[in-house]
Amino acid sequence: MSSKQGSEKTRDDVMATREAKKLLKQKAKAKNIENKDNGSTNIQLPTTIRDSETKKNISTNVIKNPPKIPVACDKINSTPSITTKAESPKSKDEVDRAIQNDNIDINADKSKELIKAERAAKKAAKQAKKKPIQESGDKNAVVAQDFTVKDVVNTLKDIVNIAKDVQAVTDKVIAIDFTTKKGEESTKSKAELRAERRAKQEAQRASKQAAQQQIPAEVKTEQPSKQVDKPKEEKSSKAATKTAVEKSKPKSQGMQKMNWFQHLYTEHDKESLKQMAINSNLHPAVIKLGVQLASRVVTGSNARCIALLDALKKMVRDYSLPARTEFARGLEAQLAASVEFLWAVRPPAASQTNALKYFRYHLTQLPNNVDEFDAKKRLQEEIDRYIREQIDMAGEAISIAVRNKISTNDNILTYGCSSLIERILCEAQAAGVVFRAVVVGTRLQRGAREMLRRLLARGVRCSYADISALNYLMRDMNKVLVGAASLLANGAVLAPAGTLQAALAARAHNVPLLVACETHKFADTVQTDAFVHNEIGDPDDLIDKNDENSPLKDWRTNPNLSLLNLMYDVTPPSLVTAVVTELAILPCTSAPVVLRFKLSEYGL
Amino acid sequence: MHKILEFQAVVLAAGRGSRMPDVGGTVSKCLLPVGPYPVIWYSLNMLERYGFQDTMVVVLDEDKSNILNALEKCPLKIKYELIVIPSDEDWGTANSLKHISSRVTTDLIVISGDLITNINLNEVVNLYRKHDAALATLFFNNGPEEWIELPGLKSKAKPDRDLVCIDKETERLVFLASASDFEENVKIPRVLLKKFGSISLFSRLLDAHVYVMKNWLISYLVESDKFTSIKGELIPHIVRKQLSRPKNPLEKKGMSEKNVDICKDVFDFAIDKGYESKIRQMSAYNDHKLGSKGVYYNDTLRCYALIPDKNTFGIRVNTLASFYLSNSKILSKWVEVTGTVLSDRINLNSEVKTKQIDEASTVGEKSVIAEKTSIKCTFVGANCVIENKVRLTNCILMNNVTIKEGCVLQDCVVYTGATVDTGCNLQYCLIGPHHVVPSSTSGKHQLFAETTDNMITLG
Repeated sequence: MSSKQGSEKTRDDVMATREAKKLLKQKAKAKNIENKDNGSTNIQLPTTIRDSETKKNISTNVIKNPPKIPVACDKINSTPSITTKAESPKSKDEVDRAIQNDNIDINADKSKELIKAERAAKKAAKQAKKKPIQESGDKNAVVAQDFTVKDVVNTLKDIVNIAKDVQAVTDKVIAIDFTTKKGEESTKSKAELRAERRAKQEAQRASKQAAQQQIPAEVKTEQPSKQVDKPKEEKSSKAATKTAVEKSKPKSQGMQKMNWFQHLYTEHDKESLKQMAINSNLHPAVIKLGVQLASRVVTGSNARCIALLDALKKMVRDYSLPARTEFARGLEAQLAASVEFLWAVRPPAASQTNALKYFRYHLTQLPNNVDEFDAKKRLQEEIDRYIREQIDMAGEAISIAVRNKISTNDNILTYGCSSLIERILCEAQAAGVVFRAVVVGTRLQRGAREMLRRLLARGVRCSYADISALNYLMRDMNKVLVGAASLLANGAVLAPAGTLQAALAARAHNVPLLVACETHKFADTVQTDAFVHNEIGDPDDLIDKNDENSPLKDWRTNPNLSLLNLMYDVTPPSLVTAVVTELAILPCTSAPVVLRFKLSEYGL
Repeated sequence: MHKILEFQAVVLAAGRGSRMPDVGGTVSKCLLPVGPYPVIWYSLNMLERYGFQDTMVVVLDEDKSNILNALEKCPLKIKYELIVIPSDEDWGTANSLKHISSRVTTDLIVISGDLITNINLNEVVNLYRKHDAALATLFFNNGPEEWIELPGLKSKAKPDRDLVCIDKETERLVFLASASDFEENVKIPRVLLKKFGSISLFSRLLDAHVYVMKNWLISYLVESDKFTSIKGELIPHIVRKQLSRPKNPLEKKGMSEKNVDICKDVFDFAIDKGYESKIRQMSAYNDHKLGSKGVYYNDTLRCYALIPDKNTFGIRVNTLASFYLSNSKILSKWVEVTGTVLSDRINLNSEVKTKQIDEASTVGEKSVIAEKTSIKCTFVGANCVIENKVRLTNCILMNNVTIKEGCVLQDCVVYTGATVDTGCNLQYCLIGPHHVVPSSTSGKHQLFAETTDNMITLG
């Protein structure tokens, strides 16, 4: 594009020079004959003349009053300043547009702008020329012409140089913008912002210097500084509008990150799922699971675990082994890619990491010369076995164990939604145990209401209460039964945010707290508080969307406000009466024992 | 490594353009020029942008060679396989789909060949993935249509309207019918109102004809063998089926014993193969707030509709109005729609002598534009000849058009191979394919075409 335009330009230039020469010749002839001034032709004189030599030849014939040249010169010297004045707003435009437009457009725009600037310069030169000519009579006029022509050529060259510099600078700025934009998508820390600003300033300073060098001393130095300052302002305003316009940006940009929780924010944002190529190298089931995890269609420790295993099973089923590759190694490569994608979408739950460990263990245990069919069959069987033993049967064992602990007419309080607790209560109801359940939830968690719905559908006597009513309700409770996302090695319980509050209330009222947790959710990590490691939920969930007048409605626009939605909290072992596992009802401090036992049995 | 495809794509480009004005001769709809490229290129380009490496294109027998030729000149990396359907039989879209059913092994994305849009295809696909839907569709909310003065005879063609019901809470597509099916009253099943708390009925949405569907829908289509059109029959049928329950296995047994009804139900095809139902049971997610029903109201069939926000550009080139509108808008939306920058607005092999050609114009291959012509907002196809002293404003010139000296054309559409003789002055006119407009004709809102042996010009 630019080369094409360039060629066009040169063609134009050549044409113009030719025309100019013609006109000059005619005029010279006319002057020789008549020795009179005809100003009308001067006006028509085109000024884009590159080869001044020919003009000199023509004009030297005409020059008769050499001593008067300086006078003319002085007058003409004002032309560069005029031209540069005419040019400066142009170049400002240039900067603006360059920022607005995409990288590639810039070249085209540039050349266009250049042409415009040239034209403006020509016009200014023409006008400047006209004046001295009209004032100082015919003979000077011719000399003046010669000089204006030269000057115009010079100024044009200057303009071109300046424009080039400006372009270079804008390119730099754009490059910086681009790199930072990429950065913004993921994270934009303060340090980065600072660096960006510094780079911009440097670029502007460079452009200032360049402009000063190029423009002769007569030209006021204020102009370039203005030139640089304005785009800066406009840039910032533009950046602001951009964030408003582009839908993809505000999420990551507008979100203020809590200072203490910087380490918890993940690089991922939801937009990456929208930019994903369809039919990528990942298995369709894995991608579907990714979308479902991101949109929280699949939530809950057990559901996520089964969903992961289901996707892995489909991946194994459809996997075709490349030639001359060991089955385990070939599959491991694909597994790694899939897992990386899934973990980026949502940080894994302990149940998921354990299931993956289990799968990997069996993958590596495969003999080297295993048949592809056999290997697939064996892996799929292992997955089925894991789901059956670790989730289904474990759930059943826990259900029976808890049922035995429920005495008639017990009031049982539960917090949030857990598939295991649901199962326990439903099966207890089916077994004829008489009890009443209270589901406690928060406005944020739709899970608790879902739990209520499911319990009611199975005929469990239930009531629902908000977490604010916890202390009042706790007086009448006989047991508190909660699920867990994970049981940590130090016996602490990682559970949905709010569980700790329930545990504290239970302790205050001396109500026993039972945690139901299958052993596949045991993790070998140690955590004493919820700040070391946690997951951050969508801050928009904190806002009541039904409330039109919610003061938090446009919280992103308030730079001093940041919302934090922590997903989990950690209940210390001292508050937990017992953990019900499929192995036994244990004190939660015996978590390491279970972990060691599992390690030997399942290779976890 | 062998790739496991998630989706296969089909571009349906066998439309005859029945909603376009009759200009005599055959004009294949998918080859109408929009900007520098034919309409079908935009669909293919969109598929390419979103990661497809190959696609199937269903075309009419008679158009095949033309389409191949046209697409060869366009910048495309995607591999396209043209699948021919006989042009003398009047096949519906569902028939076409059945025709290619043997090649379909994965879930399918069906795209109409006349779609131009800047929608992110991933949004539709992610909606489909999120809910493990049977079907996901796309509707544009373009708002009231812009009124533009169209070339050709003034007509009062009413656009086809669809009645679309979407449940606000769950985004589910719960009712779909053509507005022309109803005289005065629209009956909406009571079950629907009972089941879904707040449904919105739309009548001005533009169906983009983008369907993401499960593989088993194709099997069902083949098995049941009663559909001819996707849009008209298959989709409404599936949408309706969401409301019904699968038959009791006992009942079914009784029927098969009598051999009365062996025809398989949709629900026999919609079977989860893995742990899907278990996951749904365990997950704490539910798509609706009230009621005692489980997630998705325990439905196995789920249809979804995506309605992107109003800023989205989406248009189907199936009427003269949309054809004309798309041409006037395409250059301003170019980057959004195609994801690339239009590099050769004026083809390098063309010969443009005039300087008076503005940036909203394109020139096709091997076209010759003489000096002293003025061209504004005009798309010039390939092999066109424009002689001296011609003024073109807001025109669309297809391939092999000749405009002789001294013509002034404004807001005209000139079809393939037509010639406008010297000194014509035309406004808002249509010039049919291979038609010759005699010299010094002047007209406004006219159709110059050989619809019969005689030239018909109606005012």
